[in-house]
Amino acid sequence: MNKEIKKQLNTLKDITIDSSFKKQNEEALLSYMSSNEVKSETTRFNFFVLWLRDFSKAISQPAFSVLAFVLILVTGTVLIQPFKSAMPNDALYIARVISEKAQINITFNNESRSKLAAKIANDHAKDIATMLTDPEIKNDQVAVAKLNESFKKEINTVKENLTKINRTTNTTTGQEATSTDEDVTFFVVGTEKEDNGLEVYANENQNSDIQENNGVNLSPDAEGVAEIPEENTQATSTGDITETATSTETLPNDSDKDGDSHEEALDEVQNLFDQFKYEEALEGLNKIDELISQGEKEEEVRIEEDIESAS
Amino acid sequence: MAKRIANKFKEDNLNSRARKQDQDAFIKLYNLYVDDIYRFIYFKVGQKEEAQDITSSVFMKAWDYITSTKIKEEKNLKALFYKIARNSVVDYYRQNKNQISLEVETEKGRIVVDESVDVDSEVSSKIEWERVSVLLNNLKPEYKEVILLRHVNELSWEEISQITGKKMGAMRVLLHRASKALEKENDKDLDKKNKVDKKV
Repeated sequence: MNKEIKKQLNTLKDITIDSSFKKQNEEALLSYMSSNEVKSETTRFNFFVLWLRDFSKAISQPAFSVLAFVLILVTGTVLIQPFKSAMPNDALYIARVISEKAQINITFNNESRSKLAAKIANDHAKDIATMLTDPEIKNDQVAVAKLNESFKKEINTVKENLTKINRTTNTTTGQEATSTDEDVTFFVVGTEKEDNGLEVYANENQNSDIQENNGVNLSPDAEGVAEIPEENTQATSTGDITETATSTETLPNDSDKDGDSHEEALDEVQNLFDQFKYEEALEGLNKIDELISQGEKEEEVRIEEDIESAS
Repeated sequence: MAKRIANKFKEDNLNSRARKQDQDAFIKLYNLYVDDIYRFIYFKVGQKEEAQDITSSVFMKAWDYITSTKIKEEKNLKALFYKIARNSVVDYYRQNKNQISLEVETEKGRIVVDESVDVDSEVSSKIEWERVSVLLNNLKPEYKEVILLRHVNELSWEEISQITGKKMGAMRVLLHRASKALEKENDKDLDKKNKVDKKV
């Protein structure tokens, strides 16, 4: 329809009933309703049920769902900000702890979860140490005792989680070594009648290579297993296996060293804390933080390398 | 968007309560719909006083209907008000067969808009709606009705279908034809004006 006509049709909305007549008629209607009074079915319970039903009808609209999602997202990000930096003596600290616990619980990878828990506990320890540098809190002996206890707990949590991380790294590297041995299946299809056999190298991680081997001497005594000359053994994946095996052998030692260095550093921090050298303890905790994040970076690099080699 | 959803929820809730014979909810619905119903009737009868009387009777009849009949849950009260208004207009024509003028009383200088509003500020808009009212009156009654329901009172297709008792598709086709007819009337009117201007 023509825009001009639509605009003119819109002006028809100005036609309304007289306000005085509207009011009079409302009163007349009310008296009419009271004269023909009927018992209303809307009891308080009914009213609530109707309200609930209409509300659910209104929120079932897709526009409302989108609006609610955006609202939750915005309020979530806005509300999280203030208690992210809450200190142990703040009222919002409990909210911070709950959100951190939730964050840990929704991390499903064991190693990442331990790392996150260690990082969070380390942050808590840092907060306690920072608080104790404040002379006002230092003089409050009850608060100091409580904070000391919490500090020990947090340090123990860091230790436990770091040990967990080391343990998981060791087991995974061990598994890698064994799985690489198992992954490769080597079998030869040979017949006694023919000199030429068909050698099949199958690796679960790689595409299987089928190679016709003309130079292989198949022994008639061997049941399906051929003797392979040395120059052929270098073929495809077997070479890779030895490489992986040697590299994995060195890994546990490295992580053991890491574990020791963490524990030593944590013990040192605990000693400094016990000697009331809070600022130095804080420095130590910062170093541990660096070690944890360094581990994360190394892991990221390792994953990237794995992806590259796979591609 | 949020306001629209909130209004819809409020309206649905009032409808549900009024269906359960809640007087307070019914009065709120009256205040919500009375202008639309009055406008609808006014364009059908063309007389202010008659339109007011019929509007008044519509809500009383609606209350009688609600109290005497168990209304289905899904039944929209807005559509019920329009339906009663439509039937009341038909009754009005039957009763006053020989006396009725179908013209909307715009050219007689009688103002139909709210009298409590400042008249001067309303003049320009009145000129416009008077012109479009005349154009609408030249259309077939069913064309006028569908344009009013859809473009002026902004009812949904479902509601229009409930009021007229016709299928939604049929109403869409009817609106398309009505729009074309209105455009034609508008062009005719503009041509007429241009000719008059040239003569002057």
